[in-house]
Amino acid sequence: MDNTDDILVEFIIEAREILDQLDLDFVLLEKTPDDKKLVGNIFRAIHTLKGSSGFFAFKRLEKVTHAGETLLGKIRDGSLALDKQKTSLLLVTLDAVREIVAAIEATHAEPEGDNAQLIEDLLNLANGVALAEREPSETSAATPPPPAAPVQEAATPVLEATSPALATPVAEAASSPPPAALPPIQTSMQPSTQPPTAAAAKSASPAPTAAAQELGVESAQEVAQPVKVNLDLLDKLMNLVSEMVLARNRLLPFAADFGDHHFSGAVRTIDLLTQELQERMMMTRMQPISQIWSKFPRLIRDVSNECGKQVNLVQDGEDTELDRTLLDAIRDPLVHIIRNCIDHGIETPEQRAHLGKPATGQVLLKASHENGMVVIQIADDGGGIDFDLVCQKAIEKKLLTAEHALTLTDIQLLEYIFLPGFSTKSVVTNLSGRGVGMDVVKTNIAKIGGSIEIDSPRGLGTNICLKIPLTLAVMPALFVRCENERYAIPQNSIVEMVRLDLANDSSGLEDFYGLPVFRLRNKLAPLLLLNHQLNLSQKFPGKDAVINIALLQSGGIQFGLLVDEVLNMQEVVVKPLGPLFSGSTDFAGATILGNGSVALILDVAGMANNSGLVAKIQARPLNPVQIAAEVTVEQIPMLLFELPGLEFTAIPLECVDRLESFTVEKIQKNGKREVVQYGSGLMHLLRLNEYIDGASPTPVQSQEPLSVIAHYVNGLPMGLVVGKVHDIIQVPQIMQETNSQQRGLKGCVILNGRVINVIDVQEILRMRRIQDNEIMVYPDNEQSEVAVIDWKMVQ
Amino acid sequence: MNNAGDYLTFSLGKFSFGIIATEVLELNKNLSVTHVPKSPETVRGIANLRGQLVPAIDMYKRLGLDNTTGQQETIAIILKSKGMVVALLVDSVGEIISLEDATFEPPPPNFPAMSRELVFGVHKLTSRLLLMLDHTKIIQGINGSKK
Repeated sequence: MDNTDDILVEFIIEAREILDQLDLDFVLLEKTPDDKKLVGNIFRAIHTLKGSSGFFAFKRLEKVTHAGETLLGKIRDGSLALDKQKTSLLLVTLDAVREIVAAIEATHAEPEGDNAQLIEDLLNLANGVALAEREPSETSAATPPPPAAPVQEAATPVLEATSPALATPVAEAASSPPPAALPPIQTSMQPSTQPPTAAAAKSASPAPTAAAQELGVESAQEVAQPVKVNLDLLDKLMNLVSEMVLARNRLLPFAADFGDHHFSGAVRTIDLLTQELQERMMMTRMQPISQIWSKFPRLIRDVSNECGKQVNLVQDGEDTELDRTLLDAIRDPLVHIIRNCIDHGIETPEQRAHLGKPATGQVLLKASHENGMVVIQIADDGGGIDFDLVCQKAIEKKLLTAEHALTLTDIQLLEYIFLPGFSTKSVVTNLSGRGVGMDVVKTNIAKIGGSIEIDSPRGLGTNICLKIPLTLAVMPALFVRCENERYAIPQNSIVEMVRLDLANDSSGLEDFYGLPVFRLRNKLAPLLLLNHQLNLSQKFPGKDAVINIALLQSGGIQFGLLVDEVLNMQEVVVKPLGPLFSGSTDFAGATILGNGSVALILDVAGMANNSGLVAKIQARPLNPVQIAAEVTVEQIPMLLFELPGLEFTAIPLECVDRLESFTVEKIQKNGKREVVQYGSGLMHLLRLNEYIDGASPTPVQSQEPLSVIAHYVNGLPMGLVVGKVHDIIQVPQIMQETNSQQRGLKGCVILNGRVINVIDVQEILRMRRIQDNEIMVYPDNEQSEVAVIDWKMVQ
Repeated sequence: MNNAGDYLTFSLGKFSFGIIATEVLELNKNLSVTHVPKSPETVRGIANLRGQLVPAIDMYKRLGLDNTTGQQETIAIILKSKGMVVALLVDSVGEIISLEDATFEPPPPNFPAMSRELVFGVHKLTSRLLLMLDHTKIIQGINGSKK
């Protein structure tokens, strides 16, 4: 790579950053068109681009940026007001610039062609509207005669003035004197903008710091300017550190055997240093999620304009960091979900008005760390998922019989939207309707070891929750043996391990239209033989063999993978196989084991597709109707406890942060609320039985210690007082909804013949909040309300 | 391509080869190679080179030769070919020698087609013929896996 290439690469990186920032700025500007500072920023950014493109002699880029700058210049000095048309055209300009930059990156040369139409539009907008406005100003221009000749002098001070304090001179310019500055412009467009740009270009190109200083006036970012490091270099460093860790591991036993004091001391130091090195190295991979979010305001603007809807984006937790490889992986799913939110979810302004909602819809993006996972929440206040339509489409596609559909709950119906080819839109638009949406989202998220949850109460909007591991670098995997090699299967695709004794199993392996199948709890599951799949051997298990099957799940299909032996579970570092193996769809990568040997990681989805299994299953469903429903039976852990009057009650384990026990003496009163001292603060107690239908009131004068489930709401602990705490149980996610809605209960599940009530924590907290805010008294609550804590203040 | 320069010599069976020394990163004995099922025939598998995964090329297969020695290759030449690090599995490695243009000749026409693509010429040395390999062509033609 020679010198000019280096500079060019830097130019491209810089251009990208500028374009990303401009996207954001424009959308912001549309909302606050009077923000002169923002206009100034945009103008300067475009100007920097223009300067650099001039330096590289990218004529086309220069012309486009120049035209954009002309229009922006008018907006900046207040002679034109920004409206939707102008914003749109400027955004189109950005896209054009982006295209050119992308082409430059690919070919290191400017692409052919010009953007004559765009440039003309830009100049027309700058001129046309300006001319209309200038008509009256011409007369007034005559009165304070401006020095017509020294255009340069007149223009340069404006530029100088704008940089230190933008607001004042521009405001002045906007109020009365604009005519003074304008007349010379009117005679010919070019000179008006050329002088300032030429002047700035002079200062910018030989010494780029000048431009940076100019920007630095209002941003303190320069102080902690991060260093740009090549990604390849980072990856290599990461590799070296992993190797260092392995080498250290080999060294440690020596130190133990050797018994030399100095030697073991040195080894210990190396041990500590290596560990710290590894931790720091991992941190370099972490990047804030705002890296991808920053593109969303623009996306939302474009999509909502296209749909004729008004949408406002609220972002929260943009500093949340996660591995940059994961960032890449979640970008597309997020874009898809957000498009869905706007296209399917949010109603048109008229509909919203009709429903009594504010005309502008809200999309909330929230990211946070939770139990070593990154939780990304995408919520909208639109119409939610149209379950009736989902049901109807499922029946149309013969995924479901009409009778069966009647028995399904909303939660069960939800699973259908994840099926490949499923779309509720009957017309394919360029936004949605192709039916490749949610299943791709789900597969992509699953690929990186994440999960997706949807909560969509009818008519109240959709709440999608993505849970993503913090880093892809390490992933749990199960090792299996096939012939002489070890292979790793990513844990997130493993459902269970089955050992089948064919001699005792009456049915054994069967043949289903050329597909080997086996029976698992009276359901047929297709079987894939790993040795056949990998062309290792043609062995087929005999009639009386004992076989090991890993039951895997991929893209809504479960299948068994026959392996020779099941080995251990281990965390592995995934490495790509490289271009020579790019044709292999059976492997997701490889990993280096502790002893330095390499093991291949199986790509479960790839294998399923490769073997033709997916096609076969789709053509002839093994267990018609159930297959879709069966896949959905996900187990979720719940904590089983007792309440007075309700023996078996359960709360989802994710709502349980801690279990505590308090003696009665510790309970104090804050007004009518019961509180206990908890850590350095207070924890409010909530007696669950008072909020749940069917539970009896709290027995008076009980001296038993209280069992309390601590649940954090917005960072504050809330103590849910329960009776006895039993056990953690696994319950199917599909719940029997209580026929008539019961207060405080989400539904119930049947486990081992017992009916277990699952409480609705959200609703209980909502009831509590209503009480706090409106002093609402429930009939069985005999206490008189004395002090009311304002919930918002508590928060 | 300039035919003079420093070349690393290695042997496969009774053949001697030369490959440009400046692109050779290191020599590695006992590189353990993991077989990748369904990969191209010329790729023996994948090996761990201090944390970096490198494909190991079966040079007998790559050159269309039969391994008549009945033994496994003993050494791997780690080399950069078109920016990619690969390991070439060979029987043994000889010295690095400087070659002059004077001894160079284009490949004889009766060469098998598969190796003609890789061998750009022959250096006639006093004791033997050295077949010159074009390092940039080694990974060419190995693309993706065979179904």
